[in-house]
Amino acid sequence: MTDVDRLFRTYNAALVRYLTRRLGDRDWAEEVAQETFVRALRQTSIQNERAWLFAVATNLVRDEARKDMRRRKHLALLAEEERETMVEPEETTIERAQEAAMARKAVDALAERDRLALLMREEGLDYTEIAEALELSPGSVGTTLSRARRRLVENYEALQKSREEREKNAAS
Amino acid sequence: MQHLDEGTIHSWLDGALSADEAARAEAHVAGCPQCAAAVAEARGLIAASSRILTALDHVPRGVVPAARPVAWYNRAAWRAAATVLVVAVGSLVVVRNSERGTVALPAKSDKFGTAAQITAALHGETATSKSELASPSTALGAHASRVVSPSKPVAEADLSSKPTRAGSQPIIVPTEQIRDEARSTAIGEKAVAPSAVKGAVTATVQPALSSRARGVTTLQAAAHEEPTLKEVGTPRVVGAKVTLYEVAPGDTVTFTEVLNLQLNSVVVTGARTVEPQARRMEKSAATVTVQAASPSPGVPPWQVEVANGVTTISWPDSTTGNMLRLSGRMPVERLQEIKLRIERQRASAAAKKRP
Repeated sequence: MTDVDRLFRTYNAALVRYLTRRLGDRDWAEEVAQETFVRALRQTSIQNERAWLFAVATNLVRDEARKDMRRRKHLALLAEEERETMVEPEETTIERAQEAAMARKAVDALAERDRLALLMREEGLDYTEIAEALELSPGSVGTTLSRARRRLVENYEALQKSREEREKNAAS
Repeated sequence: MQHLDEGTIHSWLDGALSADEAARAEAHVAGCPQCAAAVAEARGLIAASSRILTALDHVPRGVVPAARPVAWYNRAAWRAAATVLVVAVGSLVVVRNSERGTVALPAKSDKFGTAAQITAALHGETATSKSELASPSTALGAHASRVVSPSKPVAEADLSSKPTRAGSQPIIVPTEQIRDEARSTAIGEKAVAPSAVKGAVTATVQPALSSRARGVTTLQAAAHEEPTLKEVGTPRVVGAKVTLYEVAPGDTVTFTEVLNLQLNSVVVTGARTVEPQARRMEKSAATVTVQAASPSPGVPPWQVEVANGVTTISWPDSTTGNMLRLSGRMPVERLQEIKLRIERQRASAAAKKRP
């Protein structure tokens, strides 16, 4: 059981961050991470710990996420719309919130596999681990990541552009 | 070698290529501007996507934006502290203004009646304790020293013995009650420790007072002994201009000019809540008298009051209409004489100001 302690101490932070970015909800992310470690308890042996944990967490999310995704996406959109209509003097806070909302949108627009690969890579998983967790061929991880990054940046820039245009229109 | 595909470039930059593959990629990029540009772009994409993903962390919990953190100045504790501060400052203003005589306003209330009794009783006791000191004038000097001390500007009350209300007779209240009052007056004011007040009530020799007297003696030795009136202090008091004149070594008079401030309503509202402090002031005073400061109809042009050896003359200033008060531990005649001198001094000072 000390092994699970070690697993938790080693990977919990990265896993929760990965899941938070994946889900856009920290509480949910923590729940999923805990469930992941609970499953690790039942496992007799894990070959690649990090890959295994991220894979299990990803699978745990997937089922539930399917159910929740549409609802949450809708809420996220509503929240962002509301934020956009608000005129707040607190520039930094609203600025950050808008950035986060745009990032959320840009990430959500990615293909699931691209998104997961990218988020895992951000948590330091190497190509072998990502391949294992997502059941990809190791050779395709580079392609997946390059596509994910390009699309993410393009999505974000498009959102940024439309926001700037909105602001310009609002100002004129 | 053919151009590097985007996946390979990312793999290379992510350190996922074998040493062999990495070396080959590096060699190619060195001689291929097109691939070098692609590598540069890939670096930019990696950095940018990393930054975008970090932005996701700015909304840590839930998609619904978290409530904005309450500003530090808006927290309950700070609000409470601010309220206390406002009340405290307000009280101070009120207490100082009470010098103007607004203390007389709540005189009809039972509470104030008690205050008057206590202060009167205290006064008697304080006088006793003073008699144990070398001389009355030293005792007066002791009070003067307190007045001069900037940390206790409120002590101005010590010397400005105001004319007594007609017919007010000091009524001695049980010591126990005084102690209780003393304790309550100490709340919120560290200037007078309850034990010190108790000491005054029980008329024991106060080491603090005698030491103060000694300090004054030293001061007096240092001071010039000139016949002209010397200002030895101007305690700052809201609503009144107070000047202490040394008429002789160890002999001081207090000259009070009550300014016509428009704070009456404020004072009246606050006077009751700050009563303990007002009482404390009077208790520490050598003389305890209460009088409405502003000249009311029917008040003679000037009044003389003698209370516990302290004589007070009050009269309205002919030019400003402000109420002037002069008090000191001396006969009326001498005070009158000093009054004239002060008036002359004031007139000459005013003339200097307006050339």
